[in-house]
Amino acid sequence: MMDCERFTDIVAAGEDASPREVEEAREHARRCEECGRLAKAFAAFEAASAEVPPAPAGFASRVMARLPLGREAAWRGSPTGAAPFPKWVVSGIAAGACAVLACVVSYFAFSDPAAFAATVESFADAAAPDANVFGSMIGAFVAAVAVAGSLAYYYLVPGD
Amino acid sequence: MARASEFNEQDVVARCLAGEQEAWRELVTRYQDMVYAVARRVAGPAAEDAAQETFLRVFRKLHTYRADSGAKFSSWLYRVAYNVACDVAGRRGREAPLPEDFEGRYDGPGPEDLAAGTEYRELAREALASLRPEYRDALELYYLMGKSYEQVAEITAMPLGTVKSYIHRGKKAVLSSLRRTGVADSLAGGM
Repeated sequence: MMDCERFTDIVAAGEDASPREVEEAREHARRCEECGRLAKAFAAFEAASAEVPPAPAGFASRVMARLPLGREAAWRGSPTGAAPFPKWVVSGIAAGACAVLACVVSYFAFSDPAAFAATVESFADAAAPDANVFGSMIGAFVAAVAVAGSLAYYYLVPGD
Repeated sequence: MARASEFNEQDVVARCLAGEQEAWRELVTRYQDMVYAVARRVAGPAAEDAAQETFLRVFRKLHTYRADSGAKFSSWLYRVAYNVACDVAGRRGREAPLPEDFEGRYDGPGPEDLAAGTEYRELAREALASLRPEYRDALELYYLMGKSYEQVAEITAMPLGTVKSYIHRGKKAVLSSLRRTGVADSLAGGM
């Protein structure tokens, strides 16, 4: 004869219980008042848990107002405004490229200050009094711009 | 709300990807109730934030949804909703599994149901609160998704066997709670 614990197991099994087990459980519930009540209460619990109440009034409008339709898409060149790569990849590539550029500029400034100064002079009216310092400053400036740009992209642009 | 038979989700997804504003409205309208329900079960009082954030994340990530993988869009969406709700809730940090305005449906209404209904809501809240978070999430999603183990597994990214085990244990815990508190007796007595 089925006991109350076994009855609980079968109710918990739900649709996975065999027809024979279900019938045994029904028979037990007819004889055991407590288990009969338990089954009814559990059925009420399941029905309530399956309820999908409507979203609050105006929810869809609030969502639509937050979707940057046409704004992000316009400048990012994508219908959904989605980046083709994760943001951290784009930021990383940008920062890496700028760091390489900064290293190259610094290298030339340190390895051949005279040639670097001459090159700089060809672009600027004022000659650099100290090409090493000047080259380092340019390198640091490029690196700072790279880091600032990458951070700005990462934190200001919505995405992943 | 659009009826399921009139709603071609793949068509709407394609139109959303093309940037069609009306398609986004259709998508939000079609799925708002279920997304909100998932958010409510997982994030509790923060459901509004979680549900809104879900659609924002879908907006940004829709290009990653692969219809040809065989996954239904709705499953993909509910998975996003579940993940966002977990994030908003601080993962498993929620105190109360159900918001204060949780409305438990009470089948077979009778004259005593006003009092019994209130008692039932308390009972449901207590029974669910007593569960471990992973059991609670699995169990609540199971009922929301029409008792589909497979869909719960897709949404939570848990193995099917684990989902079945969690749901079974969750049900047993609820049944034990009902039996232990004796509320089932007083409740069913009024039914």
